[in-house]
Amino acid sequence: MISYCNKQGEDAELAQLSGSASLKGDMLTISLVNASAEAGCTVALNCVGGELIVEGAQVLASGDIHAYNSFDAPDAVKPRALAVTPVGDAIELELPAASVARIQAKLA
Amino acid sequence: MTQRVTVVPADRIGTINPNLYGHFSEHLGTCIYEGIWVGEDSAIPNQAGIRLDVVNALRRIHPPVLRWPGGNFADDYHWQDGIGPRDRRPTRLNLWWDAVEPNQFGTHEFITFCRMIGAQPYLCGNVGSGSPRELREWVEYCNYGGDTTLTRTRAANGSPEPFGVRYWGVGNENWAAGGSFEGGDYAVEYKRFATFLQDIGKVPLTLIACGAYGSDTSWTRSFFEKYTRTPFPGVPRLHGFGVHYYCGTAGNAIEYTTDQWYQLLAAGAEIEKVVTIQRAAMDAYDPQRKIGLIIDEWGAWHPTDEAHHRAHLWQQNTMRDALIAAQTLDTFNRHADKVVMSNIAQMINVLQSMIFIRRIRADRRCGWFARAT
Repeated sequence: MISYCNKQGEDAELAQLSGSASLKGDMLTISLVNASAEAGCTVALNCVGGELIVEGAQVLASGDIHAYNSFDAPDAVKPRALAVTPVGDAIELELPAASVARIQAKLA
Repeated sequence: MTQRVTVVPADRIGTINPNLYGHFSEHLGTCIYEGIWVGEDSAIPNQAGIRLDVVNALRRIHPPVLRWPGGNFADDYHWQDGIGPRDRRPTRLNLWWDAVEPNQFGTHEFITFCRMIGAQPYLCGNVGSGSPRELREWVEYCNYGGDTTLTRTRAANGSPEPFGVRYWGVGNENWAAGGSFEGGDYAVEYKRFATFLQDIGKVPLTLIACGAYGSDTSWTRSFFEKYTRTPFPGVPRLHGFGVHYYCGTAGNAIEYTTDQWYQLLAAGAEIEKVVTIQRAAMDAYDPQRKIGLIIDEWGAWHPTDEAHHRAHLWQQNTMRDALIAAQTLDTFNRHADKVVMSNIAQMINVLQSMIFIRRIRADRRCGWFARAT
């Protein structure tokens, strides 16, 4: 959990990691959000009933939480490949701070 | 610290309806005019008056469904104003968004745009200032294949074939700009309007009632109390209940502290609570879950900067808004057994939009050029 100060000036908490998983044919898509403005997050991802064979992984992130695309800087923020490391039956990845990631994998 | 995530494919929630990734376009600011419609005589490359840069940009993201013409605009819009020769269409006041409505973009132009981008049309009808007859005639105009005065008019306006519009909203935000109803009173109106919305064409209708705002279940309960009180259960039909939720702002669109970053992400994550509370409230009246939960307006809502008209709801979106969109869509995925559609507000130039238009005065004689990003 992330601790922060809410609009009323009180201590509040927010889950750092959230996401969803979906299956189309034999392709599993996992989307993850790292809500932390300051900290990266190491994620160990596994799947019950099989080994994940990663077909692709992308991440949308920026070193600046205020970053945006404009006509003057149209590619300030764009998806890039995300490194994924197999560790046994699981995979490991480093989600940068303030990022959205998509991992596509087949089940073996 | 490592976060562990385990996927359990056997533990399936439901099938994700592609319409969860839908869009919304209102006659507001520069969403329709300039954003979509430039007219056939424009120097901006267009097909039938619809700008091609925007079409090409949208085709890349495969929008499944597009809600139109509002929003607040819907309950003050009369569809007959937007058909026929464009030089003879009336000029109206856009009551809610400080503009004059030229009615150059109407039903035919909207259907053409939907076909160009590959989206299903979702028409939002007028309950607040309209009539059951007006909405029932819009359905006949769009969907009936037989020979009537209305379908002859459609043919004369360029479309002998029906449009086959599936999704129909029976009003918008009828607790506020759609007529300031109480939930039970709106249910009476819903039933009256929906009685006359029948499957008169090849495409069966999906009828969507105005749902509550956010986590407010008093509207939901009072609506369903009255909706279900009918001599014939399930008549008139109801397929979807359209809740709206905006997470607002913290700081402003581009300037925010780290705490304000978290405040807005937390407000965005409240969508989980909205969905959970609303679906539970619906379950009390619809235990077999035949009626889908729809979130047909959602997104961040920042104050407009000084360079833009206050009522045109233009806002720059940043990484913070990207994370809000991602966590919202993830939430809908996780409720795929109940949520059947969502429509981010809005498609172009307004609120949490996919596309901005830039005006470039390249040459006085050539007029305005623009491109989509």
